[in-house]
Amino acid sequence: MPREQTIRVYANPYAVLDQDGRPAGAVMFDPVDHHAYASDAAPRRYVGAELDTEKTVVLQKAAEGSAQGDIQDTVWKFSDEAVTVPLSHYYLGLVRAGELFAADEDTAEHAGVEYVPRAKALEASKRKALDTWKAERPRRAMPEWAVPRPDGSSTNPHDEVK
Amino acid sequence: MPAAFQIVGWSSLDKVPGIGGETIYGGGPISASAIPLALLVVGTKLATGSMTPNQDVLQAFDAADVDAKAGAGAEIAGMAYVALQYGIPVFMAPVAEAGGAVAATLTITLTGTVAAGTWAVRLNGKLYTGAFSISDTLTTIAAAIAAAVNADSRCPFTASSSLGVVTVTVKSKGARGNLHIGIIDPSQKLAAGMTMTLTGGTALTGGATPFTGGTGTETNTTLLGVLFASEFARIASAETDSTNLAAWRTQLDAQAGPTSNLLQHLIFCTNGTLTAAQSLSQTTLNHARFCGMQYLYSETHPSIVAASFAALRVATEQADPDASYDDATLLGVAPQSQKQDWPSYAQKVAALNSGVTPVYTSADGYAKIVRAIVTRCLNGAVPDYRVLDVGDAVVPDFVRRDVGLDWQTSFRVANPRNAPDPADTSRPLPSGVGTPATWNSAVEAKLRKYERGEGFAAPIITNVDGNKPSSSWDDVGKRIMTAIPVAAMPNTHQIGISVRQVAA
Repeated sequence: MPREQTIRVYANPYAVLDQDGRPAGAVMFDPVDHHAYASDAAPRRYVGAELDTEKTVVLQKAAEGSAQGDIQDTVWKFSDEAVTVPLSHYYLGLVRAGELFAADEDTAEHAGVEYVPRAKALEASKRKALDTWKAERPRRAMPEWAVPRPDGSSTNPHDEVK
Repeated sequence: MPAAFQIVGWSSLDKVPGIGGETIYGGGPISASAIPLALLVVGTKLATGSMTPNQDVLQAFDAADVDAKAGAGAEIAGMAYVALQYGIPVFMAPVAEAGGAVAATLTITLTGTVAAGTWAVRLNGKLYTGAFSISDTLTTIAAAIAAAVNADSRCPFTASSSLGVVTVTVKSKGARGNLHIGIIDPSQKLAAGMTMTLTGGTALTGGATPFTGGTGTETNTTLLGVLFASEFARIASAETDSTNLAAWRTQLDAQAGPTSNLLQHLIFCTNGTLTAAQSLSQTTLNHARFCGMQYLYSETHPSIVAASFAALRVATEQADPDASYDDATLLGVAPQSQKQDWPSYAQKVAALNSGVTPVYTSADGYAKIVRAIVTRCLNGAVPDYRVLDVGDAVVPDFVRRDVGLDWQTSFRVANPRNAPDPADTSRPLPSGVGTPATWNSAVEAKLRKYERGEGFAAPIITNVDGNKPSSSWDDVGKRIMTAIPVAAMPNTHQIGISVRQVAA
């Protein structure tokens, strides 16, 4: 059996900010990749990200038969590790759109984008996310992760880039 | 013997010979499908429009009427223009712009030496083009581009030029202006050594450039208060931020409550990444009354895409509440010019697995719906697709409305009194008294009609035998209570075909 071609990617937490400005860029594994999901009904899995089950809380449980599903305050945990995924249009599209970062030059080449080391890509993504946040909500406070501590260091755990 | 009916104003004691007559209009039952559905579009207006934001809710009769009420080229006007193409009743509810909002812009810069050629740029999915000659200068060409944009009074932009630079400004202020995308059209033929550059936000596939610098997102709280007592079958919202969508979610839930009975469904669209759309659909909303579309890097502003689909739904669901929208074409929506942006099979699956209605570009260049679904898709962390297609959400509402109208205009008219079922069935109650059993029969007869598709394009529900209504007597409220299980008839979405070649 021929070996599947793969690429390596990092999660981009700042691809999406949630309502409170927290990083929420959790990208699902390819839904038609049967290595990723045991069945259609299996809980979703995310590339380099997972639900922070300790911090995620259900705010309102859906009543049986209601139009509204559960409302929960979702908090994500992101990994600093590169993830190996199949070489496919699905993942390459996500890299091109900036929802995932290429973890090496080969991956970047496959996607047709310039290779940018993760620390730099993360910084650019943060800047873009912050610009969008400020444009959409000029009167709201900055997201917590964007407010430096008095000593100038970041409050964001995702800034501890390796 | 039942008592004779009465003619109001003509007493039984009247002794003068002659005729006592009256004419009664509007007798007989009303069906929900006979009540015209209406679309409400919600977005920002311009100061030139006569409507008062956060206050007025007015019907739009044609494009000129939209211009007068909302201001030509306003965000809400673009939504109304496209919706009117479907020939449906369109209402506008403008929301006030955020205080201090700033308009988004895109800059078009011409450089080099002028010779004869053609400029061509697409804005909001529309082509603006013109020819120039060697006698032109960068300044006159830029002025011509600006003039072409300004001549299109219903486009969402104004333009100005100076020394070869065109500044295109979105008429409606606010951050949603940054969702506009400009691109140089391939038909452009500049002379050698001449260039045209678009400057805005981070460039997208194929040099498409989003507008930039737009700031401010309004809060819809005041408008929702104005709309709270009103019902519009479908609502197209320009708002795509999580705060305002969450407010819509609360509003639609409350309005659909048992004492309000305002049954509405909201449609919105994003033109950013799938991950962002998924976050809105499954985290912010996760709700059966919402349809969240995603059209990656759509050149047509996403508010217009949402309005186009919402209008199509109004036009279609009037006759078929269980309509399917597989491969339905969206009027007034430009195709994705960059094939790299076309969704792959896996991306379509990912969207449909997470409450997102994907839009794609067909090979013949039309914007089409992949499959229209609702945002409700999660039960905790576990996928929950019990309500998937928009028909799954609309059909129960239709049944609720139609059965309610039947009670109001037919059953209650014939039965001004109600009572529990008699214990002794050999002694039925007098006429004019409805009971759980008689009402239940009427409801089941209705369901059978839905199941046969009578009065509809096709059957809208299935398996009435397995989902019979059940009625009982509420002795405290002195009323009949009926539970009606409804399974929308599945639409034809897929077919499996296995062709097996055999040796001749």
